[in-house]
Amino acid sequence: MTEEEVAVCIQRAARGEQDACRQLYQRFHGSVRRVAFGFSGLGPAEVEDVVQETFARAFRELPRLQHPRAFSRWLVTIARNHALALSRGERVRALAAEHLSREVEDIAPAVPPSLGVERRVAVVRALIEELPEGPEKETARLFYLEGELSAREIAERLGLGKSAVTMRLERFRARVKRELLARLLAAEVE
Amino acid sequence: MADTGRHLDAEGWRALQRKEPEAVAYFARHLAAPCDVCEEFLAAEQEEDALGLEALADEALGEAAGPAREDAVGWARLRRRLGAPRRAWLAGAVAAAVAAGLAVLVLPQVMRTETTPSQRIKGTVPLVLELAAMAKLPNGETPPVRDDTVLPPEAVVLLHYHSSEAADALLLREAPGLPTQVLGRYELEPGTNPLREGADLAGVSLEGEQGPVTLVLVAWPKGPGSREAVEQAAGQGAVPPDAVRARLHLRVDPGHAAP
Ligand SMILES: [Zn+2]
Repeated sequence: MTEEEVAVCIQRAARGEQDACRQLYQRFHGSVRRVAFGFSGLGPAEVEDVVQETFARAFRELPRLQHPRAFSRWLVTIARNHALALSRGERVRALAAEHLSREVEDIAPAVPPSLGVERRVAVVRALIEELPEGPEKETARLFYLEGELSAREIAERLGLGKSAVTMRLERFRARVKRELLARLLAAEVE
Repeated sequence: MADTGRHLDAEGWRALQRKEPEAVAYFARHLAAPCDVCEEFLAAEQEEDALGLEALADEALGEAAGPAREDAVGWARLRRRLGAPRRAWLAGAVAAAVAAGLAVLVLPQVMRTETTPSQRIKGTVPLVLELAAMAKLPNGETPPVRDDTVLPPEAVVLLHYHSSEAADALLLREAPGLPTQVLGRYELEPGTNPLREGADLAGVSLEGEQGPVTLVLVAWPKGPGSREAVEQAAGQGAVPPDAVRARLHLRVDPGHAAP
């Protein structure tokens, strides 16, 4: 799906057209699930709950989304908030409504060209590539490049504790954040 | 902020959220290379994230694996939560079996439903459009659906069309007292085919429905303006009087087990 096709889908989905909702779901469920899968405290059923809650909420609130380009960033934001709440043992419903309105409005409409999603994906891949051969690289590769396994499943496969896998994924994600932040700031300086 | 040994902390983070030029310039340089101290700070969830850094990272990390495989089960669960009228899709083997059943069931029979001739340019053959359907019931039965068939709300209606030529089409649901709702857009091929969405059969779930429900397939022969006509009708949520359409009238009765 091109960016334009996604934008058209979002308009249709905002009018309640379910075929458009379906296309958006199929296009983005992977990214949403990946956010939830990173929380090793969540079991498979809870991960699916995060995916369901995220899309249900997003489709309900869609008419309020001002910038179609921000749709997938908005989705992963909702997903992270749900996953955090669930993994802390809070009830999903405990997420306040104003929290969600912040989610809609907080998402910046545009990102600098140096931070377009393709460029950021390239950054992620390069950072994985640069890691020295070893368990950290293997974990990041399995989780983010193969994109099928949960943190729990990777722990089983590598014979590690759940927390060890989570820690490695968090460390790698922090490295991605550091690199993206550097680029974001560099774009500000220019 | 000129000290070169400075790492990210709560204060530096706040300065970056406010885009204080000195902090921005310093950390743009400092963070350009890996730094364990700063990365440890970034690994923790921050209260404030005006830059949207979490979302930028999660979006990129989520896309790194490429397109995810189709999730028919997750979608089926989700669409049950979305507002009526609900759609239903049958995927894979079930879809193939039902499609085969449809072909056997429908083709020898007269196509049901009315057809309205199109108001096309004089001298051209009008598009012929017909609609046939069967219901998928919870007990696995798949009876044919005719006009005024009574169905339980658990039924999923699967549609088959016959079109005399390639066309752009819109499927709508009409019910008394409710606004007309767009159920989907389709590209029709000439001949008799099941209505498909990707690899799935398009079906209409009757969950949440009660009383008369009419499914309307509206089509425009493929050509200049046919897509625009679909969009216009979808935007207005109405069947244009000059469009070719085929209707299927149903009744949904919760007390009714099977047709
Ligand atoms: Zn540092």
